[in-house]
Amino acid sequence: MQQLVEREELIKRYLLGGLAGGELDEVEDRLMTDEEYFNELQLVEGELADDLVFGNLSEDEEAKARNLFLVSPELRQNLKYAEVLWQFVAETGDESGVNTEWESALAEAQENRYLLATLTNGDWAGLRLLATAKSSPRRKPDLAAGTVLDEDALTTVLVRLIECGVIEEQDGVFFCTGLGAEVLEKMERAAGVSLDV
Amino acid sequence: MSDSRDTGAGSGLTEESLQLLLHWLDPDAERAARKYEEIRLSLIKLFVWRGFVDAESFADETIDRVVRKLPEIMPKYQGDPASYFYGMAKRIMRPLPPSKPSTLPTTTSEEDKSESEQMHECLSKCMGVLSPANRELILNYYAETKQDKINARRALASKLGMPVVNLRVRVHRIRSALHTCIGGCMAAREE
Repeated sequence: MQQLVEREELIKRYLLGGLAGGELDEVEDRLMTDEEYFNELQLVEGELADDLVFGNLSEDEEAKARNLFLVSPELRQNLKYAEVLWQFVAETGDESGVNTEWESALAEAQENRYLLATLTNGDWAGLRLLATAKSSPRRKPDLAAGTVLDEDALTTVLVRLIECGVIEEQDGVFFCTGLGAEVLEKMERAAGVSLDV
Repeated sequence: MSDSRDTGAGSGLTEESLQLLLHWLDPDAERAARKYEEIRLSLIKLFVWRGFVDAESFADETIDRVVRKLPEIMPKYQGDPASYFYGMAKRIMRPLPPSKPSTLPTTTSEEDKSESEQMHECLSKCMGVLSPANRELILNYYAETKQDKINARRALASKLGMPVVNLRVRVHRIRSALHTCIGGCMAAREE
């Protein structure tokens, strides 16, 4: 647990421009060569946007974070999304009651059901998109080419596939994740067919 | 493969040199294509995180320089090719200062307000696309973790019966899904 906290502190210092020398080289080489570490950096980056919006940073950290998020169009957009999301939550309020234990126990079953529905609805559109993304990462127009989905329907399916963790989007390119590849392999084994496109 | 291979990977990348690069990355074509995309995206984020505005151009320049070196390095290089790309990126970064905030585009407050309003409407629509469980989770997460986030995350994760790390990954995925949906909605409004 302590190691996890230290690792994330290091990532945060990196994102805020606080590393140099060997530490800097180590983090950057790792983000290039270790997919999970790269994903962790992206996760911390997203949380840093939240911290900036919520005012959870020191004055110095805030200034550095503003520099970071204002550099690229994508990060500026992510910061805006964080601001809009916070505003939406403030207006909507907390939707929950407390989950009972049995609801928590059913959570995994609910997730599986949601994934199955996402893959099979609309004449297996989700499965086709996942298999296409697995064959090679694609942009939206390339993914759309293999389906009869309109723009709205395509976005909905992609959003749900991202929610389920089987696809991820980076800079407009959609990738099949490790989990997505695993799901496809399991389905291929169960059905005795290849889902290659 | 995505458009980046056809148009984004620098002016010096011919079909022949691209095939050489892919073969160096992995003898399996599918794995090589994925590896190429991962490396390119990692390079873009690397330049972004280092503060360079035109990160895509720098990433493509890095790829071009590596490709030019391939005939020389392929017979003897050992190790992850991604590390070699990093080494080349460092050489490009070294003599250049990162971009300053004063070079960034500005918008009027009216444009900002209009964009925020549209984003809000799109977010509202996109919340409806999420599963009920994920919608509830993301609303709870943002409502409860505004301050003292460490304890709030721990409490929420415990309530949901999952480790904190799983909660954070799930929130990250939901956030990504919302970004994709909002981006699509905003693009559709511009058409």
